[in-house]
Amino acid sequence: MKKKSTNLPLLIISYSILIIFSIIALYPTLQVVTISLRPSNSLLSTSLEIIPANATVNSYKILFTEKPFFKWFVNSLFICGVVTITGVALASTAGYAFSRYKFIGKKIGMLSLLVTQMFPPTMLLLPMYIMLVKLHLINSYLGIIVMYSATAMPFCIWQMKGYYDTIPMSLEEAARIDGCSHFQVFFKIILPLASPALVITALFSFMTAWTEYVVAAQVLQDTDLYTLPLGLKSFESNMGTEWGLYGAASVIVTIPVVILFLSLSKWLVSGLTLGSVKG
Amino acid sequence: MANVQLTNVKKEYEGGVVAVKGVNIDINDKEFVVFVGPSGCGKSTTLRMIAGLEDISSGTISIDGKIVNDIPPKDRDIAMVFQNYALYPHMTVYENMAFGLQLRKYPKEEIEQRVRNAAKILSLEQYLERKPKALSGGQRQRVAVGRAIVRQPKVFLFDEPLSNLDAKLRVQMRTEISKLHRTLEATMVYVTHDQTEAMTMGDKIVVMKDGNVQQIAPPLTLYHTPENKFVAGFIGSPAMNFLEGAIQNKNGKLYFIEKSLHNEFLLPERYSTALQSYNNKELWMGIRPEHISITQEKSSKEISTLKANVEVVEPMGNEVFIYFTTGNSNQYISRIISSTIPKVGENIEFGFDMMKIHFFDKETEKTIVQ
Repeated sequence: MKKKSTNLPLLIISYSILIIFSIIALYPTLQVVTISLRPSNSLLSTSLEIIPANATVNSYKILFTEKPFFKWFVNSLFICGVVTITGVALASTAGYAFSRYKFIGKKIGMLSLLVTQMFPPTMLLLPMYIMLVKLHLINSYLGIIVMYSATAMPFCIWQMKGYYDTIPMSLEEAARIDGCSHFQVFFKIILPLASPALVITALFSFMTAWTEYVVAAQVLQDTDLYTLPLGLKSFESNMGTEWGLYGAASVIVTIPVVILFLSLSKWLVSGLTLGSVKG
Repeated sequence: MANVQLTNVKKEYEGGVVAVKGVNIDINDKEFVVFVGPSGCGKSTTLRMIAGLEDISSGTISIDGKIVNDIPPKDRDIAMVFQNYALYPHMTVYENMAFGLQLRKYPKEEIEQRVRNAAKILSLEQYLERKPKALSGGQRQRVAVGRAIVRQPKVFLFDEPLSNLDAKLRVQMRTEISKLHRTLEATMVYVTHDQTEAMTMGDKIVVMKDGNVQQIAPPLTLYHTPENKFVAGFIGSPAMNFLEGAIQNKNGKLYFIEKSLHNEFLLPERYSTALQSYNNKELWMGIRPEHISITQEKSSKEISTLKANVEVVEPMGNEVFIYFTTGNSNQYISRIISSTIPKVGENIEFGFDMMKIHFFDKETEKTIVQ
């Protein structure tokens, strides 16, 4: 076979564009790392060094010793964990019902879920706040968990439904003949096959809650209940911003997300149903 | 093993579409019954109703004497092989085959023994640890069959299991399934649209069309004595030739006069009683391709000849299919075993063996005489 000829100038242009955009994407992140390592007297330095000459982990120490950062970190992990579990549990079952069963209100239900996605979250802020006040859920974990779960749910249900639609009906029928009940079909056949969609749903639920600020700022008022985005914002005050702490906290905030992506990446594979049925 | 009985079974979908219009089928113990018919005839729906995957609108289905209308698939003691294999992709071949037994809480040793045994019968021993995606189409279909046989069910159901395989593999799997039927001595119901599969595999064939059963009979009975024009045309490859025309009595002798070109076919005595009431009435005459030969001269008085143009010649090796027209648009097929193959465009004489013809009523399409 003839080897495909490479167009060198085109290749150089492509790589140049890719490198430029990579730098644009990476530089701010590296800058945050740099800021977190600078001693407090050189925060506004214009040096382009990534690791400053007099690098220090002092900001990181202060975060965990003098500030309630660890508490906020645990708060965030707890809230996001519960939101993720709730999201996956409800979206996987609701999506299955929408995908496989015929029932009154199915079309309207799907459409309603879609419509809720068309409004910006800030628009829902006031009615949701009033609702939470009336339910006495303001300034509580449960309040923020309900808010996050409710806002992430429509997208997650649509996503799960879409994935279930691609799983052949004959697999369920074979399982029913093999001796499965409806629940067994769902848990033993459908859920394992839907793992890529479950992972996406879990990631989406987690990320929505992990980085959210606006809703949290309204619902959580007690510093002890703060999530990480609220904690980060608290380093900014009228008199000035503690950039070293801000940078160090930002770096730590990204660590769980990176770990989550890396550990779930092997599930993010498409074509898990390959080989089950003749396409 | 068990018998299966369908009594006035009807399937009507929402919106009034009737897929199965009240069928009666008796399947005996250890019998291999094939449902055959064109797409949309209701054969798969009937099979799925036996499996319990479709609700029955009316009528009853009984397995081993017990009415199963309201019994879920898992409690009917049946196993089914699907057209698209339907193997669980996240399980290995072993797990796929063992799954049904594990759900029924069989002891581990027995599961192991049954799976190994089935794997041996189906030559799958070396693939037990593989996932379905690492198997070829034929191997996947064998796993699907294996998943059914480990269960040792009362009834095996096959829904067009060979449709996705290539021609060579299909023939191989066809014989394997037939062999399996003899080994297991099981009741098997097999759905196909391929009449060759139906003829070669079935003890009994159920021919269906538009949700109705057209005829239930052993393969050769269907071939030689079809009950109506549809069965006559559907069973047999190439299909039976049909000539439209009328019966005329000339000087005490019966003739079939072909409608468009008025070709005359002298009918043997044996048809006279059955066709008496059809004098001057229109009907269909049917003749199988192998009963039309190329002839230089009349070899016997039962042969009627017809001059026609050869349109297409298909040499198959052991036989030749000759497509010819008689001047009108109707095309007929002759199947000959001969060393002298006519040329395309040649005008030659074809001999119709009048002892082997079938007559069908024009209105009802039912067989009058054959």
